[in-house]
Amino acid sequence: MTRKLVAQLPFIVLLVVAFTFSLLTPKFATTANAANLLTQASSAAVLAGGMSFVLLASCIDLSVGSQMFFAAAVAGKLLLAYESVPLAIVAMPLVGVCCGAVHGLLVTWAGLAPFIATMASLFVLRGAGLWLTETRAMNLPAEFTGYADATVAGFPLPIVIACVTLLALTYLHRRTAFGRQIVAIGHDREEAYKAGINCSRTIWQVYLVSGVCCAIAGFISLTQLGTVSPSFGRDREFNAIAAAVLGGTSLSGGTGSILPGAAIGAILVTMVFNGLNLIDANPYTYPLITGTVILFAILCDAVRHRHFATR
Amino acid sequence: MVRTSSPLTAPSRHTSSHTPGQIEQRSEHPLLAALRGRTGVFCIALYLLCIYPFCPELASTGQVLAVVHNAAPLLVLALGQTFVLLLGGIDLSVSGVIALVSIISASFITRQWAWAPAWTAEPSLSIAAGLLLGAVIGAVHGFAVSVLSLPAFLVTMSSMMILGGAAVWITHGERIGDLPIPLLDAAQRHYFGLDISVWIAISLALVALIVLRRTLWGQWLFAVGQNARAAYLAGCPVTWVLISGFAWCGACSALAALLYTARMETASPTFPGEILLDAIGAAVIGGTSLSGGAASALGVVGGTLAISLMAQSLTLLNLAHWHVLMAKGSVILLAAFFDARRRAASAAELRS
Amino acid sequence: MSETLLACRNVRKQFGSTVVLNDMTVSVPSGTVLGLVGENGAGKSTFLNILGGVLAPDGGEIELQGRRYTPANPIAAARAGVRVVHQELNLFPNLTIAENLFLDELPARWFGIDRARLQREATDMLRRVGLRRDARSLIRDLSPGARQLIEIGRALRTGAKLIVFDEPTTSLTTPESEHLFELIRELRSQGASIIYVSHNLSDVLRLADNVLVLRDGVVQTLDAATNLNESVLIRAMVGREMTQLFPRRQPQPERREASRPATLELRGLTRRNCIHDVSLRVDAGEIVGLAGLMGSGRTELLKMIYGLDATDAGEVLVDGVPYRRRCPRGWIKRGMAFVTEDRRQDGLLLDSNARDNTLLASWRQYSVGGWLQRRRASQAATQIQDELLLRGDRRVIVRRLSGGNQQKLVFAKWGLRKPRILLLDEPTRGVDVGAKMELYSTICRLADAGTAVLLVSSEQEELIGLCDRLHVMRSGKLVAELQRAEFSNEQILRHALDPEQIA
Repeated sequence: MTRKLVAQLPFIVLLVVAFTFSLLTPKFATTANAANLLTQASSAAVLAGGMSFVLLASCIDLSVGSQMFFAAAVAGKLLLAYESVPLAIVAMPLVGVCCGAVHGLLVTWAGLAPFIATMASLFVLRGAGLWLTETRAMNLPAEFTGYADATVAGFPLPIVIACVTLLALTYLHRRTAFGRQIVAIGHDREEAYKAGINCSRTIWQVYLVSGVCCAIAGFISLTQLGTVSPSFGRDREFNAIAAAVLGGTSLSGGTGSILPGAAIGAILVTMVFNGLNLIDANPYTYPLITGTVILFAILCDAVRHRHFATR
Repeated sequence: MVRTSSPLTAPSRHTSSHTPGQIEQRSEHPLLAALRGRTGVFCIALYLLCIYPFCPELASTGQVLAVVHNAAPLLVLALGQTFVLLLGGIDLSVSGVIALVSIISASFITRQWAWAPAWTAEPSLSIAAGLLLGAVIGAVHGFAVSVLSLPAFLVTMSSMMILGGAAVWITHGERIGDLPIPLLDAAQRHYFGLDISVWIAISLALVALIVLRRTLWGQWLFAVGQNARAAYLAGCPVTWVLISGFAWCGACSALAALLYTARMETASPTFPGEILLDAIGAAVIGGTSLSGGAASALGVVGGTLAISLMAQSLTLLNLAHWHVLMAKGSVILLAAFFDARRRAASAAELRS
Repeated sequence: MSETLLACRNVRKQFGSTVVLNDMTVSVPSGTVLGLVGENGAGKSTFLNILGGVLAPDGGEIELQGRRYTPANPIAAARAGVRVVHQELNLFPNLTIAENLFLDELPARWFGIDRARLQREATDMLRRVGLRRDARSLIRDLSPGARQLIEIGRALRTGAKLIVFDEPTTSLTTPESEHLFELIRELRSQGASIIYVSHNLSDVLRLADNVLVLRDGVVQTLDAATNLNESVLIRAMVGREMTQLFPRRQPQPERREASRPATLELRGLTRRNCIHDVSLRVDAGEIVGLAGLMGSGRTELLKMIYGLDATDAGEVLVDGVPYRRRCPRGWIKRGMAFVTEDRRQDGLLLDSNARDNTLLASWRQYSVGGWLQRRRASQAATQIQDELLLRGDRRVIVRRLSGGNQQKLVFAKWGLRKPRILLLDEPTRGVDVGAKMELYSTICRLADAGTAVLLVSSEQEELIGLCDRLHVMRSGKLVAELQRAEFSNEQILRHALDPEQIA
């Protein structure tokens, strides 16, 4: 009974937040705003999906914002140099895969603690991206940014991309041996090893998935913003972790979901800032609120975890 | 509370034939033995050797003084970080604490707030308030880590956002620049050729040295860092030790905040996050283990000088900000790599 | 069928200088069940770990179907056709039954799992082990007995040639056990071999073709089950000669004066599903033993006393005064010391030197206003280390010391506090014979000085040699109290085993 209730908790919180904002401002509960909100949330949802995967395996990736930035920098450089949009679109996931591969190697082969490795990488990749862009904002051609307004069967492209990615991730998580083994590893890595799972390879692949998700999220954000600014992707890791954990993924590994979990979490986090925007909140409070949301998420996770641990 | 790392304990066949006697008497090449645990020192020496031909001016008195001068606030930060790392935790909130503390102290001193009575502008009181604020923030981290058993890196990461955010919120992103001249003069005075901040850092290092070696608290820090469970079973007040360790780190960050403010003559609500890399790098190069239980104050002094030296050489080479970022990140990766290897080696020894 | 499946010749294993398996030679023909019995610490689990690829033997050789068998890890063992069903369950609560059963080789189809095939095979397996559950239910919703059946199913699934069961029936109900026995007989008739390890002697006799009795790592009896009965088995399990390890202690006439309250007294201590209504007393200068099989709740009882586990009912009295808010710090102030089972996890700072470990519990006594008195502390540490005859380099980190020296440091740590009450949990596990003797004399010296000692040990002669009185524990209850005159291996084992099977 309690377990069922707790499983619905992210959804309930989402409803409560939405209800509160619609009381505060009439601009919130409109179709236009809902569409706007979902479009805004699409890149956050992809990031949160990738983060959920990493968290399911009981690891963490603090460098997602920098990976986004680095992939965007490479794409921007290619766009400006060769003026070929397909090249840029292909390059982004490749960059993501490479970043993920390196992180995976650092965590498995070199044996670093995941948060240390990815924290250092956060700075290294940001530095590498700044190097490519030379700390200047790169304005991208309209044929690239046009993707933000494109539609597929009447739905905005960003939302479609996010949905497809999340569905693919859910399939990976629920319906493949890889996903099931991640859950086992996240629950207890040593037992998983004893049960015959190649833990190192699986964790390495988890970081690949995370890298690709960063690249996809980077692509969505890039088309929406139209420029590679030096602060592109900064602090996105915080939102991703908050979204994943608010969506019900445990920080201690093994439990969680991509759909609906990560999606709800991402919408929730985006909604908070969308709502604050609409009620004309002091923009200087936003970082403060981000931090509070993460802290809230961690506390929720701790409570949830303890509740079931004593069972 | 301690971060759990689960190295796979694959049964090792080759080591299982050792008898305990053999392990106790294993001999080592003297050169290797000397280098054991001093990989950091070795790497720095190598680095200097490589870099010197490109910037020979590094050896001039002025440059050496600059290195020492820049190292002072960093040393204070690194000493704080060391205590938390020793406990098996980590404090990622450094930049947030620095921003908030410098803003709060500067606001009091420059009477930014109408509601604050006149006596709060007294510099010594404001400084004390800043230090106290840092300690309280640290203690809250310690509480979350020990009593609520939350992972230290997540708690301090979100706290970095909250504190930095609060600093921006209070000042609306403005710097506070009009600090009283006499105070700045006092803070930048030189004694025996060195800035007062250098002397402050040196005395703090001495305090840390004495604390770690000669006090009950120091013993407990080591005990909790090495094996919190054994320490608890042996009657050590683990919760209190964790809270006080984190509080020390918060206070050190606050002190560093004041030193930076005095140096820059303004209090800024945003502080570059890379300072975290410098602080952790200095601690880890100085022999502090990322998995807890090992630290030395003298080592941290060395580690800080090394980081400062590296930063100075990169400046002399005219490298851009992004190169510096990448270099510092790589230093952390390298240090963490050696730390992981050391841990794996001792785990293998344990299994045999 | 008389073809030999598994042949072990002179298999040896030692930890440090303790020999746990000594020239074990046994062969298992295919299509037979070998029952393996022995006391705690007789070497059974070591043998199972060697078969399962967790440990490598130090000597001798093992052949499986005539080929050399040296598995590098559990996976290799499983590939070679050997499966061990462990007592502890290695299942993943967030995965379904089917996924747990087939975790390392989930049937693939395109990019995903062949759900239909998985479901079909899992359902077949569940029918085989006799568990009526949907294969799609999550493990976390299952009872311990059902989980045990899943664990067994996991071993059956690969068509193993040799299946080793380690105490499979402890969490099963009677019908479930009966079904398991049916299953074992069926496997046997299909040509697989079984090694069945249990403390339940009647089960072993019913099920096994041959029974092997291990004692101190040596094969005591290996005979057809039809030639054996329970009394013979018990005698073979315990028939150990007493070695002269134990220091002689003076009997203490003034002990047990009814008027004086006991130094340590437990009244009705209870913890749900674990400890049931345990009452006992330990007087000053007395060594009281707690005997019982693995998992009978002895360690849990000590942890409850020390305040590490919560108590549901009952109280602990010191000198007749109840002590409610139990925690390590409070206990240490009241003069209690607790030597835990696992010295590396719970007792030592492995990366510190001998001195720091010795002083771990006493730094406060050797500091004034927060300042350490290092010279006084070092002197005290050296003195107690000398008293305990600590050998080995005292400057190296403790990780590199031998098990005996490490354990002496744990004793030094508590000895420095001059404890009034001493809880000992397996105080000589993994310790060589010489150090063992020295530890025994330390324990006796402490008791003679008036310490109340509560000793948990799986080595019965340790209990017999040291204790003044003994309590036997079985499934969380105290089932017998034995006075020194009544001590015998057989007595203890009879009480520790289930009474129903001893007619």
